[in-house]
Amino acid sequence: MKKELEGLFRDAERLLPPPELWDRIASQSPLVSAQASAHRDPRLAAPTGMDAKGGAGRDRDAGPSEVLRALKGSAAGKDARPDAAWEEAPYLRAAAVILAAALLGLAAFGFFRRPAGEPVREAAVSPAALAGSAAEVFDPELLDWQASLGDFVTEADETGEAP
Amino acid sequence: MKPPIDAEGKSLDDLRAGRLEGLQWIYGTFAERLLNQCYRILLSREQAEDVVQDLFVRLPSIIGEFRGESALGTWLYRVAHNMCLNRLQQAKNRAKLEWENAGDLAPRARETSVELSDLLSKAMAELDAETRSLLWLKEGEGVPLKELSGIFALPEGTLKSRLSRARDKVKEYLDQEAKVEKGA
Repeated sequence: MKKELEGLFRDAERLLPPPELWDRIASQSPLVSAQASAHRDPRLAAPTGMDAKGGAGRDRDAGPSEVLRALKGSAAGKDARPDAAWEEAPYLRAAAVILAAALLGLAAFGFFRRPAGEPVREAAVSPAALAGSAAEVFDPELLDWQASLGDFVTEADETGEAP
Repeated sequence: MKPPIDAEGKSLDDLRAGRLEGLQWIYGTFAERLLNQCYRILLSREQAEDVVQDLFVRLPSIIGEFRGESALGTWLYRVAHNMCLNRLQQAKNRAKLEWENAGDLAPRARETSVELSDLLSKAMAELDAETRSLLWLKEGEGVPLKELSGIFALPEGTLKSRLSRARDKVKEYLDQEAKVEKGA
């Protein structure tokens, strides 16, 4: 009976995996063959969410850690490239413009400011000197006549006669 | 960990590195044995193929569980065995639920759809799924008792007595079949 049992198992029907079984497995598997990965279109390797500029994290030769680092950087509003941060941050540009304007203002102020320690220039002509110089320029008699002429005009206004 | 020097080690390295070639080698080496094991447990070719497909699709994600404490084949047998039993349990639960919902006296559905294509399948259908798996691996695949102990997580002595009872049951079935044939 033991031999009969052994024969039963030995002669038992054995199934063979159908060829399409592997095809189904391969199509569902997340794995990629080494040959396919070697010939893979590099554009397909670019992580999603990256633009065509080719900045950090968009580097097709970047390793996974580099890509992750770049993704972390972009998630925090930063970029792995210092110049990229400059290009892509508007507030930095505005701050630079303000700084440049301030520097220009300071430079202009320094240029037109009087040199330190120089005394304040006095008024060119004092009132007394002005009076003296007027006496020198104008004849005193003429000045008297001008004064009497004023009196005459006043009188004429009072009498209503034309001078 | 020893450096991989054989094809199995290389295929495992490939698999862990995400290369399809690793999976392909394991499939080529073990798929037939796993398919037959599943077939003997589930008694359905279609379901056996489904389980094998599922196993190999999931293998890259579960291979981390394999620590090399047993042979890869032994570990795969255990995974396939557990997947088949899970599937049967799900089918049983589903059938039970359907029967309860039907609320009539319909006969309770069998735990699986049985394709009784040969005498062995008919004989093994008399056994429960776990014993079918054990008997097939021992008699059909020639897996040593020590490995079976690893697959079923049972002592060798327990397995021996289970195997003995299973053989008796199969013999009993064969005797009955022989009597029926003689009577006919």
